[in-house]
Amino acid sequence: MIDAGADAPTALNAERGQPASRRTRTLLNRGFLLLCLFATSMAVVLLAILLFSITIKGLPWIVDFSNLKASFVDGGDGFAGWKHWVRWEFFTEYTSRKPKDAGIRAPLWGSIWVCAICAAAALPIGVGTAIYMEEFATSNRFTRFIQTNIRNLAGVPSIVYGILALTAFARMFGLFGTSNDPSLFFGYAFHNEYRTVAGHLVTVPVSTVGDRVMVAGEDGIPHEQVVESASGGLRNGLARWSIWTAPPAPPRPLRDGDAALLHVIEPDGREVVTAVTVRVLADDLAAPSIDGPPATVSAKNASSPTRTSSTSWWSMALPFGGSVLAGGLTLMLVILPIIIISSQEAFRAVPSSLRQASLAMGATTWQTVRRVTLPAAIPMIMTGSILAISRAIGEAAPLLVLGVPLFISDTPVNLMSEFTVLPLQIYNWAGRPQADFHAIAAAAIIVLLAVLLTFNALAVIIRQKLHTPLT
Amino acid sequence: MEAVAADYDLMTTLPVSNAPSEDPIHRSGPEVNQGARAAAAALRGRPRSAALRKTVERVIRGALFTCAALSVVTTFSILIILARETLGFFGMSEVSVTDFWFGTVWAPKLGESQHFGIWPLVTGTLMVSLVAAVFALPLGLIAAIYLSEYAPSRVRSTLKPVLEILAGIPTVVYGFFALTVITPGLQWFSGAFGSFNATSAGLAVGIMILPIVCSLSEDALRAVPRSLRDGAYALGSTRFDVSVRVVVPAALSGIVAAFLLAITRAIGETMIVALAAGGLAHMTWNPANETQTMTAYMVSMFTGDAPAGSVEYRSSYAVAFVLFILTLGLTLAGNVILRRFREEYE
Repeated sequence: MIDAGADAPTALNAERGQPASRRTRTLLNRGFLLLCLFATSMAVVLLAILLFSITIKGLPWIVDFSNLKASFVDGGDGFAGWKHWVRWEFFTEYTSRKPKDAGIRAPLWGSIWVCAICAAAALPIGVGTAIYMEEFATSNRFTRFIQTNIRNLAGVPSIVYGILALTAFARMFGLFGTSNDPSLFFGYAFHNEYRTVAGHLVTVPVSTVGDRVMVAGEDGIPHEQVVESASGGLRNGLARWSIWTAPPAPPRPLRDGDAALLHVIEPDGREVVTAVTVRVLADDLAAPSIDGPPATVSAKNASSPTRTSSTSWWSMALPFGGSVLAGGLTLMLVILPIIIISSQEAFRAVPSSLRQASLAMGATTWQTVRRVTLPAAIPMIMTGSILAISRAIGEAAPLLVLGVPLFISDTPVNLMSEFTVLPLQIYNWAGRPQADFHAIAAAAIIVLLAVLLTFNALAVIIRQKLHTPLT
Repeated sequence: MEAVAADYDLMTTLPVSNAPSEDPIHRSGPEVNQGARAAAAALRGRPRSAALRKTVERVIRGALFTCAALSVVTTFSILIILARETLGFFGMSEVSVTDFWFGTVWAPKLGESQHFGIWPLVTGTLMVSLVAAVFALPLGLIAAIYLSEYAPSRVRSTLKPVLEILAGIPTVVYGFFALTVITPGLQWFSGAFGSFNATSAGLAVGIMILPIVCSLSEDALRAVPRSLRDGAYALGSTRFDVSVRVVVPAALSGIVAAFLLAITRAIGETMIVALAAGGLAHMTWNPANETQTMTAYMVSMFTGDAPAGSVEYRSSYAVAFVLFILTLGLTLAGNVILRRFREEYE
């Protein structure tokens, strides 16, 4: 290793400059050390200023200081009293036009959903690619091209991935209509919603193929028509099992014999839903008569119907639009190169003697991967993947391109739900001129950084606990 | 499949005895020859016919290949989508190709006097990146030299986590920091700075790329073999001489690659500039002015109310195309430098 012939000229070169006195050189050495210390401490100081400024601004929105004082100074139960001094509203409220009422419920849940989808999509593909590249691929031109390509993808700005996702996931190249008018969807139940004169809410599930509905003709006169646009599914009036190839026919007035659902709000605020049969009566009933099914409800003078839809947990539509699924897949694109590269390093760290032994005993390549190399590489893969996923949690730019709405007052319930994530909410709040919004942005940053630090700590723990060098 | 078969022939000739003694997979009985155990584990399943095994192998190989091919599909999809929309944009009557490449006025929204000259956005991007580079590259390199050549291991073990935390902070947080701390600081320093300016955004981007510069340069410095340092010391060099005249030149290709990667990140950075740099695209080289970068323009278009298909909406694809080519070029250049100009000492 030590080759005097190669090293000496380099060292001589180093000395070849102007001959400086020993004193000058010592001073230079000292000065440079000071410069080094300055540069390095700069990084520490910057981190300190950043964390300090954000904590000062945001902490009052997360911690209730008067209760904190009661817990710690005035003889409370200290940390055990966390239930009292944490400002829970900040976590349980949706965003609001007034900073005092605003919370991070929607972005917090959105981040959890997006992160889960992103991990579920990126891990198999990323690790699969790494397995192929390290264990299966022979070194040919195409393999080298893939390798270069992966390295280049890691350098692509995340906003460009946003554009790809907008076209490929949110719009699906325009193959399935627009996201407002998707051409293929299932798991959606459509209702016509009516309000009777007595104020009761009546919903009639929109039926599937073969049912007769009233539609307005071209001459303006309503006429009956058979639904043709839905396909498949049960024909019990509920559209849940239908794959719709077009939205259902427009709403029609209530008719005698409609199988409807009557929604009654009980005095205690519960909503009771009863199956009823609609009977159009001459007079309005003050209250619907429910004497066991089939019950009746007056439909006279009921309001004109509106179309509502409800979803189940497995609802799906193509194209994905600005849904949480599209968001997760977008972030998958962003972190995929990172996961691939770190997993490849993990496989490279497995000593080849393990592989050779397994192959020598007649195991196939896949058997070797599954039973030998993959288990040995898992700790490093997990460390790299956790770091990649924490990058995804903090990513905002590609989701901005996706057209994620910034004012969300619902948590996701299925893959097609609208969503927002913590970084987007922070961006939204930070972009407003009011100082109070900056303060809650800082509070949201504290939450985001706490999550990310937890992830980083997890990665470090896994690295230290599970990773035993194999050579 | 032939390749796999060839592997077998090769492998069976290799000795198994040099397998390591530690057994991470099967915790019990590390004394037993690990290679044999691993192989036994591989074969423990139900005995299958060779044909079935071959089929399974082929299917899995195909699935894994599909995963790997996806990354190629991703690249080509980006290229095709951007090229298609950009060509569509150039084909519109409001747009002139020469104006786009050489024009110095970017006014996408002004109905009658619409102008699409990319240069204001490019200079905005370069200005922010330049401020970031001037701040972060020397600082990061010096910190890397300190970590690699000077720092005692205890200092190193506390500084590395600090850098890792800095590297893990989301960029939107740096944007917020620029907006609420750096900009007021600059304004206190001089009244010339507006509430949105390129310097503030540039400094925040600089803080963001600092850990990248530092850790990648440090990797490059540490890869320089010890014998080089020993040789220089033996000739009476000070630590400064060794670091700056021997180690840094020897690691230059790695350091330049690190710089290029960091600049690529600075050019592609979105959230910081969207928050702190403002939204006014005009030709200026004054870093105290408000400016708009390519990424910030894309954000303003995609979050704005320009209808899809309109000329200003499509212009963001053309800008994205330029950005993509620029960053791709820099990444490729970094890889080439790393490969071509690497000094081999082993």
